[in-house]
Amino acid sequence: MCALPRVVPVSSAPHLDEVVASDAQTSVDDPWVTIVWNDPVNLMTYVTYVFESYFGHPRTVAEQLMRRVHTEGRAVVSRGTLEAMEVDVQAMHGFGLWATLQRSGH
Amino acid sequence: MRGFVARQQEYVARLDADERAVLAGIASEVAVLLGAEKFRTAGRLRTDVGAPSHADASDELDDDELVEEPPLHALGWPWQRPVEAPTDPAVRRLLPDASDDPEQAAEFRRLTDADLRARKIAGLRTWWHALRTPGGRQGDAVAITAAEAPAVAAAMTDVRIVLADRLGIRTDEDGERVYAELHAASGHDAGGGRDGGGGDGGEAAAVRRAFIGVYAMLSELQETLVTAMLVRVRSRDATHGGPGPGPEGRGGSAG
Repeated sequence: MCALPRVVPVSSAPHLDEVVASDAQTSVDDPWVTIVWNDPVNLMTYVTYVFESYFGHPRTVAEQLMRRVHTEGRAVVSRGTLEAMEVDVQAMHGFGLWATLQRSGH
Repeated sequence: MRGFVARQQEYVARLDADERAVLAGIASEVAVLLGAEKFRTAGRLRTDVGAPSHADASDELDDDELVEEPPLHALGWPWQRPVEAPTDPAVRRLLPDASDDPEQAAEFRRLTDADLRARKIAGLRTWWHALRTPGGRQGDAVAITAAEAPAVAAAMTDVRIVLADRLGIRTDEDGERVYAELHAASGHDAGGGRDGGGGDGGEAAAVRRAFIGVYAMLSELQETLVTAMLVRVRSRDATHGGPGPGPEGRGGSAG
């Protein structure tokens, strides 16, 4: 991700498995998660906009999530059923963000 | 170039004819990468002198309908078959694997590929059309309506992703280097180098610098557009007394 006019370097993303262990609040009702990955193209402003407009997050939450993507290389942005996560991942791809889905927990 | 600013129900940037032509051409190229026909205006260009007299309003309407029409594969017919992952790395990034489980990624691709391509192409076309129909007193005002803005902002990302791939931007550090190159080049060009006499790579280097310039210009346009859009999103949320789903949002968040 980059901020204009300066691009802030970020270390490369760790493996998917590490993600959920660090920040998912796992529940049997939310067996799947959507993860957004850092990339060198998307602007911080745009990623924040996506999190505010699509997920309906307040500004502070959207900015926190954006920063987590930026500094940690990825962030869990939603949790739910597989079908719900498919909808979210497709929406993220529509926005041009790099997103994946995976089982929550393990 | 002057970046986007909010005006009533629109966002308006100022771009000269060369800038508009370059940006429109690249938007069209990216749509072609996604499987679209090259964007065109039926039988005439707005800037044409002595345009054919039969190029009336109905021609324009036909052209719009032609391009708005979803491609056949969007109608669902090939859903019975697997959809191959794109081999071009830039297109692969526009339509990435949704899972590290290959079977799940293939299934996701089968279900979403046609729709994602169609929507991206539509957004690119909206951006292309805005660039081709400037207005304002100077004829250099490129206007995006508030309704079009989300799709145009996404199209700008898609174009920047393709440009970044072609420029070899793989990491945040690469991105930083590209901006550094641009600044070095603009300092260099200020000396008035006409034919690369400085021995810094000749034509290939000049082309690269030009593409970096386009990448930077699009970054600036996207930044200003999205900043203006965010002002609107936030004021709407404030009006409604709290956060709410966006116009194309998924509804209430879990948080």
